[in-house]
Order: sequence, then C-alpha cells, then structure tokens
Amino acid sequence: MSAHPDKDLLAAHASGDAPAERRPGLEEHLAGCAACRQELAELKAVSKMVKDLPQAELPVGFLARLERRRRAEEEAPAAVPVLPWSPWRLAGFAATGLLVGLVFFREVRYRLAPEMLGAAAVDTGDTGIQSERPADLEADQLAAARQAAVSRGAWGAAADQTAPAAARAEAESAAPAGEAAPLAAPAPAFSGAALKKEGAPVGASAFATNEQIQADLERQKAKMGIREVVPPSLGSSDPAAGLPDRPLTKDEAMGYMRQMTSRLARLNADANAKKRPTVDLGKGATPRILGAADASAPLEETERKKAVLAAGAAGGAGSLAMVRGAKGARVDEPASFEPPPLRRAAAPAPGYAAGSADLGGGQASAPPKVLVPRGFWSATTGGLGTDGGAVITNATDWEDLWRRVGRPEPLPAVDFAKEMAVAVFAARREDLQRSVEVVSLVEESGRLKIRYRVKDEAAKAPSAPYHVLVAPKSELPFEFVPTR
Amino acid sequence: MPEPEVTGTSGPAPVSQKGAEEAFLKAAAGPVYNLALRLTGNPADAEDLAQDALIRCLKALPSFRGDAEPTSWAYRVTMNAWKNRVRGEKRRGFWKTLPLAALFGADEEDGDRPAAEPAAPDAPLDAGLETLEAGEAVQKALLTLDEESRAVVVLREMKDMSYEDISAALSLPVGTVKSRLFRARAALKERLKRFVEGA
Repeated sequence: MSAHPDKDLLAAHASGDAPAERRPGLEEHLAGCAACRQELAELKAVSKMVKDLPQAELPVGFLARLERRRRAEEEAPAAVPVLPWSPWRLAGFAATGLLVGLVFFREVRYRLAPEMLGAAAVDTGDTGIQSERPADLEADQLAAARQAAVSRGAWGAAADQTAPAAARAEAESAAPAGEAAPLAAPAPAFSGAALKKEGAPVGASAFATNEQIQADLERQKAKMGIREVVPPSLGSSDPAAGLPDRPLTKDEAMGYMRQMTSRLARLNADANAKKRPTVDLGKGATPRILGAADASAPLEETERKKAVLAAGAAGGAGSLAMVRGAKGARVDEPASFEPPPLRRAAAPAPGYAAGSADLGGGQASAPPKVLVPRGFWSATTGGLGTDGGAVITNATDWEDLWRRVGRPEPLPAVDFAKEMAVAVFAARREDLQRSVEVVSLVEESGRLKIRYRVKDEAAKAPSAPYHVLVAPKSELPFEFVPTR
Repeated sequence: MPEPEVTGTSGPAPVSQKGAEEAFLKAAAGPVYNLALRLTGNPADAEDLAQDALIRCLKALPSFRGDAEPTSWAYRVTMNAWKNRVRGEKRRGFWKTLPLAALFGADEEDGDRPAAEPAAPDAPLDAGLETLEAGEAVQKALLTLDEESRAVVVLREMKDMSYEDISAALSLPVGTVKSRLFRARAALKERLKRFVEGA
C-alpha cells in the first residue's frame, strides 16, 4: 500500500479538487486503505455540516435599524481617517523633512558649493589671483607673500603678517634659533620689493586695485587660451549663437534670454504678418484681421494680389482677409476662395476712389436690398479688443469666432451655403463703456454696406464690445461703414 | 444550501433610486446577514457588520447597476468591511482580552502562511461541544479558524462561490484560497470529530 496521503490532499479530494495527476494514486490507495477512506468520509461530512448550517432569518427590525443608521451616517459622516497617520505624526515628519532640507541647503549649497566651483577653475599653481572675492584676494596675497618668504628662508616662521610692523614684531618674537637674520632690517617679507618681484601689487596694502586684477586676469586668460566670445550680430537665426562655453553669470543669462525671446518674437511676428496681411479700412477705425499683427501700410495692387494668393495658400485664413487697393476704402469681397464667377472677372483697377457708386459686375442698377438678420449676439465685453469687422463664410471660422468671444450658448448652426455671419468689434477702452452694433445690412450699388455704430458711455468699466449676427448670404463685396 | 441566485433584475428595471435600493436590499440583505453571522459567530456583531456592509453597498449602488450579480458583489463588500473591522480590532488590541486570543494568529499580509492552529488545549473546547447541537458546534468550530480560512470555508461551502469569485472577494490568489480551504476542512474535521465519527 502506498503512503497515506496528507490531510490537505484528502481534504482537496473530498470536494474533487485534488490535482489531476495525483488522483489515480489516491484512488488506488483509498481502494486498499480503510483508514483513509474513513478520513475522506469524515471530511465530506464536515463539508456537508457547514453547508447545512441553517439560513438565519433577518432579525426583526433589521431594515429599519439600517435605515436609521444610514440617515445618521449621512448627517454626521463617520470619522474616516483621511490620512494614514495622525496629524501629529505627519507634522513630525514634515518638521524633520524641513530641518533636513534646511541643513542640506546651508551646508551643501553655501559651504561646499564654492569649493565645487573652485575645483572647476584651473589652478596653474603660480601666485596669480584665483578668485575675486576681497577676502580671498587678501588670503591669496598673504599666501603668495608667505610662499615667497618661505622660499627665501628669511623669515622661516613668520606666517600671518598683515603689516610690516606686525611682521617685525612677530619676527622678533619668533627668533628662529641660529638665524642670523637681520631683525632690525627694515625690509620685512612683505616688502614692496619682494611683492614687486612676484608681479603682485605694490604698496603697503595687501589688496590689489581693479586695474591690477584685470591685468592679472588677462594674463591668466592668455596663458590658458581663453578667448572672449562676442555675441554675433542679431542677423543670425541661431538663437543660441554667441553663448560662451562656460557657466553664465545671472546678468549674462538674463541678457541672453531677453535677446533670444525678442529674436524669436520678431521671427514669429514676421511669419504671422506674412500669413495674414492687414489693411486699413480708413475712416477712423483701423480694423485688424483676427489674429494678425499690427496693421500694416496700405497695399498696392500687386501687393494686394500677392496677399490674396498668399492668404489662400496658407489656407483657411482667407475668409477673414480684407484687402484694399491703393486708395480709398474700396474693399474686395472676402477672399474665401470659392470665387463667385461674376465678380472676380470684374475686379476693379487700382486707384479706385472711395465712395464711387459703381463696382462693375452689372449690379449697379439693382435697387438697394436690405438683408434681414435672423439672430444676433452682442455684449460689451469679450470681443477682440480691437477695431475690426469680419464676414465669415465657413464653419471653421465661425466656430473660431464663437470661441473667441466666449458665448455661453452652444454654437448656432449656420448654413453657409445660404447664410453668412457678420461681426463687428470695437477697440477696448478702460475708461468708457463701449458698445457696438450693426445698424443695417444693405446691398446697394453693387456692394454690401454694413453700417455699424459705436456708442460710448461714460461709465468706468473696461469694455471690448462685439456684435455678431447671422444674415442671408451676400455675394457682393462688403464694406463697413460707420454711422452715428 | 445554495442561495437563490438573483441574476440581475427581472421585469421593468427600477427607475428611481429608491426602487433600486429596495430591490437590492430585498435581494442581498438576507444573504449578507447570513454571511456576517457565520463570520462573526454572534447576532449582534453580525448585525453590525451586515449593516456596515449594506450601507457601503447602497452608497456605491448607483455605479453598480447591472454589471455582476448583486449578491457576489455584496459578499465582496462584506469581506472588505470585515477585514477592516478585524484589522482595526487587532490594532486596538481587542483580541487580547478574549480567551481565544491565541487562536487568531495569522496576519492578513502573509498570504501563504498556513492557518494558525489553535494553541489552546483541545479538551475544554471538545467538552463544550458535546452538549451542543450540530449547528452550534459547527459555528463554534468555525470561530476557531483564522479569519481568512473561516471566510473561505463559509463562502465556498455555504455560499457556493467559485474559487475565482472567492479569490476576488478576499484579494487572495486562487491557489491560496484552495490551500486555505483544504487545511481548514481538515482542522474542522479534527474539531468536529465527535459529530462525524461513524459517518
């Protein structure tokens, strides 16, 4: 008979959970071992006993007490500890951390750091000036003088001397044995002659003048082969050009950062201006295209064509571009670049004067037609803060405008095949309450005249007003006309 | 005996929060109380534990809708509540005051340590069991197991949960669940020898 299986295996077998590979052996053993069979039966019986434990009924009133307890807990929530430790322990940890941080900061940062930096400096070993701090200078000078004295052997033990008198006194007291040193000699180790010999500054004082320091620095630099790197002209496009290959001082770093940011900002501004040319609509308001740089000078005809083409190439910005010719306030149609066939062919020549009646395209004889907007939104704040107007003919720009003015309503649906959106903005004023509104949309004389009015009230509130409306689509070139 | 399983809601789903809560309580309050009773061994603690667990369930009910069976989810919450309770009581040294303190030795963290065999001598316990009915004897024997083993035994034998479900409810690997179960069974058998001899 094989060995008795251990209790756990039998227990597993009682519920059929013995590993498959052990089962044949088990069965074989059980066939021949009554004791184990008995064990197995007892184990099965225990399982059954647990299984047969009676199902206790819910005690009377259990659910009511549950409700009560739930209400109580909702009113005064149980003090669940939010933190794993008590506040006291946490405070202790925090204080320890602070202390460690402070000590570290003081010791490492202030004490060891100069050593770390000093180690990087090249030590040529001669008595040159190693650092520029006055205390160090003095110490360096003293060390140099000391070395000189030691090397000459005249004043063996004379170490810390700051003045000839003190030196003499110490020399007298030191009295090196056997030294036939001329104690009365008027030339202490710190004499001008000695110092001059070493190339160190002259004079009774141990300090060096600025010029002497500079001269020594130049000598050191020449010795070490350091070249001063002059920042290149601002024409180079590499923003990091001109940075010397060494740690910068704070002022140097600030200067370079200022240089770099201004350089990059200028590059950016140039790129933006190329993308979206702006023009003056004349007559007071100087509109700006959404997102463009400052208004530029009026464009010539060729420039106008170039701008239109460029805006089209940049894609998507075009519908807000307002371009004008050399003179006057004639405005071309929004360059949405789905060219309405009629009008493009009849693009007027440059030099077209403002206010002229006809624009060609055969629209002149049509009677004025008033466009009725179907919805408008306006506010005294939230606009672009600059004078401007726009006619929007595609959904992207519509959404962009909606987001910029920050209306709380969801984006209204506009069918740009049949409708367009018109927006006017007025410049921000801090001292006046401004409001702007579109007075009328009239198609007349072959143009869409958008008349707008800016109202100022003497209330001290910053305002950046806007007025947006949705109107039936007009194919005519548009013009923003201020009215009273 | 196996519980009547409630597999999701039948009929029109309860629209209101109140209706959902009532349906849940109807399905789960009884089984949860039973589990708590077998785990704690006395009705007062069982009611406390069961209410604790049910309140947690009700709080989390909105995010539960319709996923798994409500009872197994409720069992899992009960086991968590019980673990917290046991841990808290251990930390406060509650068990030290009980004469059976030596019995509860296993830590939650030691997943694979064998169930602690009771250090108290067997004789007094067995002498007491003679006069008890089978049900009470089993309950007392269950209480001699450590909490994890007890939970495994109750969930497996009484509630008929699968090993995977028990493993999820107790956050133990399936292998550990099985080994705890078999060892507990053997220990129970020793304790309940008088009742099962001659079976």
